[in-house]
Amino acid sequence: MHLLSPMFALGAVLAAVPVLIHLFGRDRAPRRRFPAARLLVAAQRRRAPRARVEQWVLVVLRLAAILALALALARPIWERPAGLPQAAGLRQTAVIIIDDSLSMSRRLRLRTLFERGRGRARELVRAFADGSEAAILSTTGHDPLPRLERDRAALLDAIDHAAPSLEAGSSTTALARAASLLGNAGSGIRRIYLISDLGRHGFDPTQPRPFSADADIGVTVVPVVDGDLPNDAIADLQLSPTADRGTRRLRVVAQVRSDDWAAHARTVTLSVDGRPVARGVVELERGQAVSKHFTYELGPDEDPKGVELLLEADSTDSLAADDRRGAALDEQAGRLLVVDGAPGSSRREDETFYVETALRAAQGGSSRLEVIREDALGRTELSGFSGVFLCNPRPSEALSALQPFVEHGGGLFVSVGDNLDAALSSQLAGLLPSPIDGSRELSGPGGVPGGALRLERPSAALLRRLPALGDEHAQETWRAARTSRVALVHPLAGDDDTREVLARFEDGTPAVLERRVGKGRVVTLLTTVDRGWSDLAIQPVFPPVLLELAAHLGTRSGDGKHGTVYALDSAESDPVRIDASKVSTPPPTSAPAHPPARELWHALALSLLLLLLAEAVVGLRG
Amino acid sequence: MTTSLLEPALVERLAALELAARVAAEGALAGLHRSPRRGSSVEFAEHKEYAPGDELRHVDWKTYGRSDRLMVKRFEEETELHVLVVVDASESMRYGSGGADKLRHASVLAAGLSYLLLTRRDRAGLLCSTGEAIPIGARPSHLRRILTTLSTLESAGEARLPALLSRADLLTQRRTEVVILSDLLDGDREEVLAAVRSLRSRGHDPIVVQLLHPDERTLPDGETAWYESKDGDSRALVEPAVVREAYLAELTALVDGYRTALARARIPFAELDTSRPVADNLALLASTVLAKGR
Repeated sequence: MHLLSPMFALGAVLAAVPVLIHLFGRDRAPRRRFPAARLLVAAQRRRAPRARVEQWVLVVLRLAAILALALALARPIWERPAGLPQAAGLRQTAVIIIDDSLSMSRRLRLRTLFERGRGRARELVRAFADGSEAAILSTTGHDPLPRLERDRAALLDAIDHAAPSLEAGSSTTALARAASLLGNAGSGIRRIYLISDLGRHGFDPTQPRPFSADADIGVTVVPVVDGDLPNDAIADLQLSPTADRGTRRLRVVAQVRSDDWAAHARTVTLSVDGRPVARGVVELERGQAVSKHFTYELGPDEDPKGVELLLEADSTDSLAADDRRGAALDEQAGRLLVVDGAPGSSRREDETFYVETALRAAQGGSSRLEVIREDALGRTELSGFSGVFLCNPRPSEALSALQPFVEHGGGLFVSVGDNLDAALSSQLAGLLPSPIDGSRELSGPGGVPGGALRLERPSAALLRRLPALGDEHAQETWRAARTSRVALVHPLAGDDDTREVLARFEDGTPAVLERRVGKGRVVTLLTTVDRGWSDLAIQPVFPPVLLELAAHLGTRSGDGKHGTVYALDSAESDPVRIDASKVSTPPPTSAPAHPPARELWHALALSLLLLLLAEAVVGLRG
Repeated sequence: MTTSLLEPALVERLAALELAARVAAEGALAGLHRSPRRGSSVEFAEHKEYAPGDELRHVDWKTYGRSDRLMVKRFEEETELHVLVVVDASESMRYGSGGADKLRHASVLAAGLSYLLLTRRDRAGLLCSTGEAIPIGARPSHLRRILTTLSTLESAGEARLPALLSRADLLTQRRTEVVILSDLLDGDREEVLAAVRSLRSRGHDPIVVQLLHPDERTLPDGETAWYESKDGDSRALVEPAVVREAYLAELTALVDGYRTALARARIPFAELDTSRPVADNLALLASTVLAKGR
């Protein structure tokens, strides 16, 4: 907002006149000797409360009237929020890309960069001229609104529901998808707004703007941060040699990198199977990586599955998520088998697509994951895996191999889907926590679109198994998942401590069950892991939960070990940013030099009239 | 100086007042006022059956001759009136100008009343809140002392009426009418009332006269100002038009409080407006005093 006649705004100083008159007038008021002053004091006191309120109301009304008059004469002009690109006020077809990668979780003062970016997206949508249409994409593929939409409320709602991810993002890929979307949008102004920290890791260095062929599509970068933010990260973790190679000595090397402004020290803690076993201090300088070596002697019966390194909390560190890094200790502990019971015609349609994507992203692209179709299960040696993810299985003979696998300490995760039937429940009777008896549509209470239900807040039992859900934001995204159909199970017997409900929906319907079978365990999700019945798979909390679930499945019953594995993409900790000019293009020539604005003096004049009217009414009443 | 309080017109007005008409006062000397006591006098009052101890010289032999009953003549005894004028000369009484000045007004009333009493051979005394005191007396020179004291009276301090009234006994030996001239704006009302009732219990006849200036009665319009008492104890930033209604309610409550309490104790109470001619107020006061003395 600015003023066309700012000199008149100085008239606002007049608002101080009544206050000054009141303050100085009190002392300068003449004095009168009056014998009955005692009665006057009593009279003042008796009418004081009402009179005081009236006087204050009058003062406020008069001050407001003076301010309104001064502002009206100054002719204020309302414009869209400062800092928005000029083209934002035009009628256009636009794609807003919100960078939701891990690096956007860095915190600047009280808000994360992602929250700032979401705010900028809202401002953009509000600034668009009527008749504009837009889509909202993300850099990690969890697109809030992947189609063009004219309804401003729907766009704002999609932005409000966007959530930051712990995954690495690709702005290059998102720009390409946006260009593809706009390529089918016909003529008119077509523009992409990239709201990002412009981290180098998000761009293909050879092709930051991958659609230069289409010159009609402009790109505007909306930055969310001006300078660097201080951050330390555990960039790498190396194990050698591992316990299964015949030595009882475990050596762990951590690479700690600092992008803080000043030299400082951080404490690194080594945990084995979730238990802190060693601590050390690293001296850090900006832009340098420092190695920290730990050596840990294993006990005679100790057979650990995972280690974790954790930097001691530091309030100046803008990103806490990269302060920890974990790894599996042996070949088996980290190896997972994903069994697809409902393969689709394309990879995206596979039942296991989201599980595989999440596990690979969270494992940092390691090859400790194998995906097979269900019919190949009978030919696979299960003993080489610590856990099996059985997604929407069909009844088949191959499932019989799972019983001995679990009884000997393997972990099994079962998610259901359209293949659900009585035969399947019967075949898995020795593994499932409770017989499954069909499915039903969930119709939740008001407030949840589509009648779907949300998960209730994670229980203590679930938090013990999945510590990642202890974070408040993780809980928020866990509860943001919407589920429309769920498999029905028989109630668990109260005296059977081998079976447990770990999570429920808000209406009390069981969502996740666990059963201990022999030395292993079976966790059952009573809905789908693709988007068929639930959108849990696209929630940001899904990858870390899945990894912790994998670690939990690999923990044999009775030994009490809880390995925690985090392997976030270390590239997200890279503070180097690219130049916005390499991505953006100039605004369209039709963009007005002065964006649409609105004069506000009419509203102020009306306010002045109302204030004077109110002042007269209060004055007469007094 | 003393004559400045009694201007000729006022003296003339005073002379016209009939102080003697059918009044009864308690006193040792015969005067012009009718006394409730019966005694030796030339004016016959009534007959009474003879009783042992009655003076034989008062037996009405003519009646005995006519009715064969021994009757004794009784005569009305004329006595003098004792009046002690108490003047509140506190700071709050120094308000107004000319004749409306409350202290000046009270002084003229006290002087006029004293003149009236002393010229009619009654007795008068004076007690001021500033400490001046003239015992009750009847000599011609007594009026000069009273007038001199009133003429030189200056306002000072607070009224402290309860303490002042407790000194009334020191100035008189007999039943006395105690005329209290005050604005009654100082001190605690209940304490003042208690002191007045105490006078009554000690055999005196108090008369309370409240003198108020027109400004005090109406709180006229004026600019916003600090209104403060003479002693500075009370202070308020007041816009008269805004606070008038509440002020008048307070004043009415104060005056009504005195009026009700004194009426319950059968003690006369009068409100005098200092903007009225002082002679009118004096006439009202004198009639009250004399009516009380009957």
